[in-house]
Amino acid sequence: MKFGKIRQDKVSSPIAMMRQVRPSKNGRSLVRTAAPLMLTSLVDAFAVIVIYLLASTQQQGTELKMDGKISLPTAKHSQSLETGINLRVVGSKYIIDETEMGQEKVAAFLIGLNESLKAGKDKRQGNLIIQADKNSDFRQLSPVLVIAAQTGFENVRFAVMGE
Amino acid sequence: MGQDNETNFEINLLPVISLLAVIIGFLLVSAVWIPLGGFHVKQAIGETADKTDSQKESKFQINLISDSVIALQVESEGRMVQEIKIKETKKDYSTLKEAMAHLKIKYPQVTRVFLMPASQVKYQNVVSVFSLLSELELKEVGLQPTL
Repeated sequence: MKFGKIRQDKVSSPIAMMRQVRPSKNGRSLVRTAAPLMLTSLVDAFAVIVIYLLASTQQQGTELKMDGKISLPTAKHSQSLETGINLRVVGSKYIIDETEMGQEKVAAFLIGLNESLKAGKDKRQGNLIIQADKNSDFRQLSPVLVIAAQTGFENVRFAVMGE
Repeated sequence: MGQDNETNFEINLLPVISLLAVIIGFLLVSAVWIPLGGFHVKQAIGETADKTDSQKESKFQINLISDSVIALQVESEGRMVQEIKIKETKKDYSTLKEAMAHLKIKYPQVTRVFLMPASQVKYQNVVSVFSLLSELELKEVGLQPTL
């Protein structure tokens, strides 16, 4: 079909002769003025965005599991939250590492946990992160502080949300 | 068409762009945008604390008697040198902040703060006091549990 109707029409197409990028006459390019799309700058921009996002997600020193029942207190000025054993105060119950218990069992659990952390040379050893609802009374938190001191958790951190 | 015998070639960047676009999408979705922070309290454990030294230390003591009544005490070398009672009317504890800023200037040698909230004080108010102490750059803060 070298001399087919479609090909003949294409060769004499006025649109192809008028186009600016690769004008052609009788199917032949006259001048190659086509400029390749500069993708290098786009790749650079994407790379910068990826690095920024990676860095911003790494700033969260620790991964903290949030509880739907807890609304953390807010603070304008707070420090960074480092790694530690997560203790959640929900009503009269205490949740440590996804294990729910009453106040009477917290001390024994924390002693065992701290010993296993020491044996494993875990970074969380001696560090406790407390999550409690902002509307809870201090009497709900007070026993945790006493127990933490007795069981060898010398660094206690209170998780808050920044304003 | 016979003239198209160029040997110039370019690296195909389209797969790279696709990959980066996927990574950006993933990071945007998985990133945590809730600004989490914390307040650090270092507790004395065991019986290693030297009571003689602790009795002679200088400190500010903030007694949160209730959510709106605060008693401020300044101890210098174990002796109480000033006591202020504050009726806090503002939610952001700005009255306490002003008083603490004034005391910090008056007693620059005092860097330690002990916070003693009563059992019925809301946790949010304890955190608000922590926040204002952090703003005033008083970093050595101790929290005394209610017995």
